Amino acid sequence: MTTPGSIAGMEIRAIAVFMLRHIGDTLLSTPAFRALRAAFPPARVLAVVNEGTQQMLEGNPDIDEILVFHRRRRDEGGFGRWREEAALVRSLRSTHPDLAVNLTEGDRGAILSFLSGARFRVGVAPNRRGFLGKEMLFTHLCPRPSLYRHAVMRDLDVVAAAGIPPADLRLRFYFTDRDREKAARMLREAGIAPEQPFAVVQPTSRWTFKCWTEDGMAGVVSHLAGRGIVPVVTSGPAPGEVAQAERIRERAGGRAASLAGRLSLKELGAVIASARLFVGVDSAPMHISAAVGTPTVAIFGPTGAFNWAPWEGIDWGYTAERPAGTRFVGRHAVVQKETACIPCGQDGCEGTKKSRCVEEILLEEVSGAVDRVLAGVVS
Amino acid sequence: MTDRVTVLHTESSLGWGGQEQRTLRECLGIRELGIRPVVLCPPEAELGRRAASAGIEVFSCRMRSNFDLAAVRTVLRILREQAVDIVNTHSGRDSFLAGIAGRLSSLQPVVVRTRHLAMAITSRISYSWLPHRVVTVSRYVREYLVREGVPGERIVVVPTGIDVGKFAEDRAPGNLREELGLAPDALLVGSVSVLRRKKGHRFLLQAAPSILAEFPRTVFVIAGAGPQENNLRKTIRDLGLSGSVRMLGHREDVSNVLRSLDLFVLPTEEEALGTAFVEAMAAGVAVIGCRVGGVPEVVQEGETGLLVPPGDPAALGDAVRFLLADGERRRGMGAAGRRAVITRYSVEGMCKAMFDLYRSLLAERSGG
Repeated sequence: MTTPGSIAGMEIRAIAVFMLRHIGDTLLSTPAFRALRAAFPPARVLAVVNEGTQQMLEGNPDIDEILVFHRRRRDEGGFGRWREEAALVRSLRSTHPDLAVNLTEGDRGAILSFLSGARFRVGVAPNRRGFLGKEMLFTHLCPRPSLYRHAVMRDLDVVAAAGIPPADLRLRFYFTDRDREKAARMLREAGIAPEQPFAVVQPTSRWTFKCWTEDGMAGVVSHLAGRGIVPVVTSGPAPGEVAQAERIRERAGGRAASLAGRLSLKELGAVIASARLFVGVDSAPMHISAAVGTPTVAIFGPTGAFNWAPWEGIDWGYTAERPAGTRFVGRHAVVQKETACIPCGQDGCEGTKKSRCVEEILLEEVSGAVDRVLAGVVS
Repeated sequence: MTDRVTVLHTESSLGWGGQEQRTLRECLGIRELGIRPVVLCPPEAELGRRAASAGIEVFSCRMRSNFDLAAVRTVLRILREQAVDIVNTHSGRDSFLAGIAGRLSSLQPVVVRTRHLAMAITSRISYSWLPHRVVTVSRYVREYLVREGVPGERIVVVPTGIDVGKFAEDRAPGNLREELGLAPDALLVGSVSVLRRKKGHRFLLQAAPSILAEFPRTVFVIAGAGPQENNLRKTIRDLGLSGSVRMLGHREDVSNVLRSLDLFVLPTEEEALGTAFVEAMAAGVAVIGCRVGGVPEVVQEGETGLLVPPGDPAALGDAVRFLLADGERRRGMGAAGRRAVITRYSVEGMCKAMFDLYRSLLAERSGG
């Protein structure tokens, strides 16, 4: 298992990068793409991502082509699955990559890296995870990172294993003028004048175990309104999430505008980019907020803020001894209990889909973080 | 985690001045030479944001006092986790915290303290006891520290280097005259620097009437932002100079502004080195400064510019008029300044000197 030297400076004409995870993870990989582009400016960069996550990379000048992997068709099994896999490998090989980078630790990316035909193949050392001989698929191996390393740095570590240094640690998220216009129109229709300060409140996630209480969120909405900042409640398109956002708005006495379920992620990014503040749970919109540079208050439950805190390029300082807790770094804040069981890796306490560690967060903790972030005073 | 040499730069100040800019330039340059730089600063420091955007790994930590034990503990953790070989400290507080941590760490990293400023030091401990070496940005600062009792053999001078190419490669004149709607034959005299009292902008304003009497086509240009902005505006009004002084505010196109000048004048009263002069010289402009701090090391009197006593508007006015009257001498000095900067104040030269220093300190450590 030897790792040969740096490939920086070698002739690399095409690069295939595998990022087969969720929406947020895909956005957090953008600094790795930046590093690759900076190291090999003329190389053609292909990103292979799961269906539904490609919006995080669309419009990004560090990526030339996005190949979408259709998990649904794969899950149908049988002939449909084979056809999908074979087509993917064919289109992959047709780009003739010299370098394949597997940013995820799954087997699929490892196998696809190997099948891509790339001369250099970089991935994370499996350390006896995955199938036998998995490490043989790679030419460059990144040592398994510390559990407490931020997801952005983990991706950059993989690229660095091939001798390619980071070029910019910040996230990049791009939207078009049309997204911007649509966002402005939606805000106007929601009753927000162009110069009026507003904050985006994102109370929902696909995973209910990450969600704070509806009373708490309603309290934050009232707090913002009391400070003269119009709260705008947003959510994903699922009817359950929209209903949850609507209940929170009602509990706050209707003192908020709502765009819940009505925006694409790109449009949501355009809305957040013009907001004074974002308050929300650990979710893709939270990462988008950090990426567009809007001050972000992220409410964390049992998931690792050390991996997924809103990222501005600066380490959050979580350690094995203190892996959780409220922190302020740069423009952003994490609000999290310092309970001993965080991170638990469970789907809510005892499988209830609800997490006590997030439900016990007090309104004062979140509104205090909101005030501090708004004041720009983080000391 | 890596077999490369790792340098941890610590900085407790939050701002973005010459000191922080030098630190970031060193990080970037030294990375080119194969050393891995990482930065530790308070979570809201501008240096952290700038370094991260340049792809340098940044750690954050509050530094509440010189003896903040929680901060010392954080530094110790970072030294261990990042396998730090060298700690380079830059301001007072971080020099204590990281100096103490460096001396406590079982990794025994080399501790270097960079002194960027000319002002009086408040404690000798962070120069004489904690670091293995002190780096100063000029001979002047070195001599000052020696007078204060810091052992001379511990102090190395590494002058601040600038990105010479950015200033020197583009030989075309700047376009400030067009931007400001000035006549093509207007004589532009001014500076680019932070607007602080010690930079002495007011002395140039006081000398302005005598200059305008002889050279009515002179326009004074003050680029930069800072605490003195309102005071300077008031002085301009009081002296009736509103028609001949332009305050430009903060400019990102420093090279363009400098290349537009006929003469760079900054009557600064205190200066560790005077990077503003280095940049002006790189842009090929003759300079006038004061005989203070490190300025005489940068400006070769009579060759690349003129020096006058500090706080003396009459002498300053004489020097400005002398050079405005002699375009050929001015251009000769500008060209000589550019040559001097290329050989003595390039960022490559600075980083090579720091690289050599680090290597020799690491060799000493493993040898001794």
